[in-house]
Amino acid sequence: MTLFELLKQFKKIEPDTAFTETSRRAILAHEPVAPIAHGWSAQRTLWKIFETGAAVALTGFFVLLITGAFSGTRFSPVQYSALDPQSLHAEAQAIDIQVQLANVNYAEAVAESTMPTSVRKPASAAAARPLLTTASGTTPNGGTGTATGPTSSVTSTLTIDQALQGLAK
Amino acid sequence: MLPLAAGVVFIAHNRAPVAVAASTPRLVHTAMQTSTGTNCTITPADLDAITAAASDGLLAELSVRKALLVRTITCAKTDTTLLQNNLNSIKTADTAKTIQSQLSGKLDDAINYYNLELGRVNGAGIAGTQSVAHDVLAWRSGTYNPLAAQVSNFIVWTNNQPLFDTAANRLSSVESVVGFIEQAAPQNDLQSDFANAQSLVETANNENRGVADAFLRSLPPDQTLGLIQQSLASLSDVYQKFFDISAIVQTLLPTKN
Repeated sequence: MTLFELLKQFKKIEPDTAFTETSRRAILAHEPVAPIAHGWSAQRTLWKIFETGAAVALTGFFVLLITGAFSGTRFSPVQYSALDPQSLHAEAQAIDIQVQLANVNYAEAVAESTMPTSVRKPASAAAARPLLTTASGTTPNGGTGTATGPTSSVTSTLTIDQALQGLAK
Repeated sequence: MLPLAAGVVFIAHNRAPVAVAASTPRLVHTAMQTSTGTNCTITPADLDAITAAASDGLLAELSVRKALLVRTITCAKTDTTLLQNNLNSIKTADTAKTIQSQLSGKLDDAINYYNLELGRVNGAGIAGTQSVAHDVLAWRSGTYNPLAAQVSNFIVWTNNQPLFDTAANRLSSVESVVGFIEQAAPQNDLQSDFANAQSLVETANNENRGVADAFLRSLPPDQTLGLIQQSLASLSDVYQKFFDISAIVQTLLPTKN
């Protein structure tokens, strides 16, 4: 007998008649489970409210966590990037630019004081020193530490004050 | 000479099609034309033309003088208008708006003054034009130039404000790092440097507020500028301290490079 013929014979297998009867009685004797009553219950309502509230609160917490709302609190992870030299350097450079800009104003003021008709600027205001200026006097972005005002360029164009001076004669 | 600052335009926009775009700020005073077409490139040759015209008689000299004087005052007025436009376009915090509107109001007065002087030129003789030129020059020296310098200071100061905010935020971030390290293993140097940084930020902020007071009290522009420079110097010191703290933390928690 081949394996194929043997498998065909499995179709003829049937349960014992007594066992079939016993099983049928057991199944028929089992009471069906009554459907859950959906009537109003204070306890159930409170529980549903609690479930919904908990879900909303948990979602809100994760949203806040993701958006970084807890930064600066003890719940937030410590950000060592706050002391990253590169980002510090970038911010310090921005200050340097403003320092140099203020010094341009100062240089301008000093230049004006040399003009006979201009407002005299006392030399009390010391020019601020750029933080990132190196010892050689060059700034990180290649500029020269000292700002030169536009008055340093010699042009044949007169300023308004110079023109007025000529016209007053 | 007018003081210059980033974004400050002191000269008329050039409307010539081949020149710089009308919206491009110019930092030099050698602008060519005002929006009304006035040529603002005044050279010694323009003054020499007066001497040359004098040989043709008084009327010829008067005509050249008047034309140059009107041109000069018109250019000065245009400078003022552009400076005012720059000032008004700055976005400021509420506290600075008062200063901004005060300065803008004073620039309005300056524009009115130029208009009055332009009116005087019409009926003036040679001596009259010389008198107008003298008066405008004296007024600019005593009133306008300090005002323009103060406006320039205000623009610089306004641009400084984000830097102070950034430093405050940085201090807050550094505080959490230092606090965490201190809990794990107290470091005297770290504590000391951070306390100094806090103190320096406070000093810088106080000095920065002092600049606002200086504007409101109409202190001379050179004094205001000195206060601005001082506040920036303090802010630089803050970052020097941050670098020190960073160096300490790097030794405690070396990172891979």
